[in-house]
Amino acid sequence: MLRKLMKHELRATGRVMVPMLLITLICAVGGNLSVYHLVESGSVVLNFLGIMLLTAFFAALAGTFIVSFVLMIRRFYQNLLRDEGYLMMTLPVTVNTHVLGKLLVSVFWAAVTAITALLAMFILMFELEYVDLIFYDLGEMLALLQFDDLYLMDYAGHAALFVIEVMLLLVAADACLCLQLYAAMAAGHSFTHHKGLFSVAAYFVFAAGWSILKNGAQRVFYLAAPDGIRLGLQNISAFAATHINMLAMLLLTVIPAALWYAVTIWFLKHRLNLD
Amino acid sequence: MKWSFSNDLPIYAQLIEQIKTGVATGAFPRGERLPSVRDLAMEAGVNPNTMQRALAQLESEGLVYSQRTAGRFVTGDEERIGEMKRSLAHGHIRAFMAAMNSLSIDREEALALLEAEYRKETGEDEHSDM
Amino acid sequence: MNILTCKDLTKKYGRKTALDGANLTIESGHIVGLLGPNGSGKTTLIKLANGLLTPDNGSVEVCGMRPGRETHALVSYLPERAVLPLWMTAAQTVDFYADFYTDFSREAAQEMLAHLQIDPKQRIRQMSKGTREKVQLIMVMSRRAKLYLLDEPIGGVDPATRDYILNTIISHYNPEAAVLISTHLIADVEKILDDVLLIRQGQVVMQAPVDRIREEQGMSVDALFREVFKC
Repeated sequence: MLRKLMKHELRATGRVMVPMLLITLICAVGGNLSVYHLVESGSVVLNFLGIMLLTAFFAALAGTFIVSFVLMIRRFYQNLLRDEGYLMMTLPVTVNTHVLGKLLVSVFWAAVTAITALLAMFILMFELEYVDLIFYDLGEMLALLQFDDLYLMDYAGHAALFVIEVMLLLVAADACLCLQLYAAMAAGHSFTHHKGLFSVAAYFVFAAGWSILKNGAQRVFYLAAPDGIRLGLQNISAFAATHINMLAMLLLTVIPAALWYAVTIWFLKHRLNLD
Repeated sequence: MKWSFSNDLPIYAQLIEQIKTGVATGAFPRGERLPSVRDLAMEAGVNPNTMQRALAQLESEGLVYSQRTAGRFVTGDEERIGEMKRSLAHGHIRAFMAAMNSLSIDREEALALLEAEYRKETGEDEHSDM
Repeated sequence: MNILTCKDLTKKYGRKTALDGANLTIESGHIVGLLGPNGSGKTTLIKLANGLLTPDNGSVEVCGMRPGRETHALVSYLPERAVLPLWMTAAQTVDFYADFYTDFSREAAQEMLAHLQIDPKQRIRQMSKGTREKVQLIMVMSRRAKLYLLDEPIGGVDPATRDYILNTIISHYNPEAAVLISTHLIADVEKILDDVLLIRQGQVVMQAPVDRIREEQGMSVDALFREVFKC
């Protein structure tokens, strides 16, 4: 059922996202043209055209990020809490599946948008001369990893792990943001009047609540942690410290995300109020 | 055949009446198979259960009979149909008499008016190639 | 077997009581009319049967189960409002229903769409209100469900379409299923009903077969309704 929900969700969102992403990439090509050939040409007209193309590119890029965000909110609200909710919430599908489906597709588009942005920047900056340089650099990097320098290998290994941790953290952060908004909408919509207002209020109440909880927990941890652990933490390597730090950040993102998920589910199961 | 219903009589009773009329007029020929309950219900625009009830009643009166898988059939019994026709006619005649009464038209005048109308009809038939 | 039962079903919105201890039973093979003035609790009752609301008191059961994922698979619901996503085409709507409901018949839906000359590639957004309602009805009736909940199915459509809809309901009659039709337009619908439920101020005030009402009261249900609910 989740796969089917996601298939239809992708259909519904793809119609908007795919054109935006394609436009961004096309504008990147235009931008590239502009950067390398138009902006510093002699002609005023070409200069101007160049500047327009660059503006178009940045507008498309910013626009795509904004659209991705707004779409995420709109889909949840429109499809589950408004008229379409009469169709969706009577499907033989659990509330869990609905929320998970929306979440996974939202995070998917966020990731695709980010990747497209990187690709677009690459296209913007791309010049044939660079290709040689890139391959040269790549060659040098690979030569470095010639498994005879243990320290470098170690470093490369940790760096790779770090990159993975960063990506996980970004995904988790996006999921957490989505779920926070879902929870606020689900809570706000349970009221008969002023649903929008209550949704905004719910967002701030939840955020504040979590903040208080987090601070409280941190203080307790510092006060209660036995000296052994504290000393131990001061004597570890930079690598270990980085990884532990990343792990902590990951946990501090995943735990509230789970909390918002639970809140969303509760409101949708027990306080659904389609009008 | 055309189905028409009035609002204040039970539907199943009206169905019985109309199916009987249908048999009398030949819309449901004698000995022939009747459409299925669902098809009849759709034709008449009524609930299949109500149609079923009417048909069950007609079965108990002997006007229709059902054969296991073959469906329902109008009886071939001429006499029975004749009886039913007369009974329907009886109903219409009593209705006519009641209407004439309410208009304070007595028996003789009513019969005379009736005669005249019949004559007019056959008279029109004679002069029909004008 | 009991398809839908409500026992002392109560639902409040703040201080307003929409359903006040409603009791009813609908058995399979019956087409039942849910009749009552605006605000009498009809829509609330249907929403509760669908699991879109939770009762404050009492219970509602579909085929002996509380509303939830299992009952959703057994119930075919036609809401009063337009609920199909506007961006979908008629064909994609068929896809959607086929994906989620195992009792949905693609062939039946496609046949009905063709019969009503609705282009499968046309988007819901481009359709007139009447056509959208027909599409919704086609999807609902193409399922072989145990309980059909039809909320005002003939409300805003022309007489010819009305006949088509009522005909579709009769032709899909299934002795193992029950149909509940909530409507104002009693006169049109009376002939296809087995029983009627009269609901007033959140309570079921009468549940009786149509023919019994006509026999005992000597008037149509429409006329009875006008009397019972005289303003």
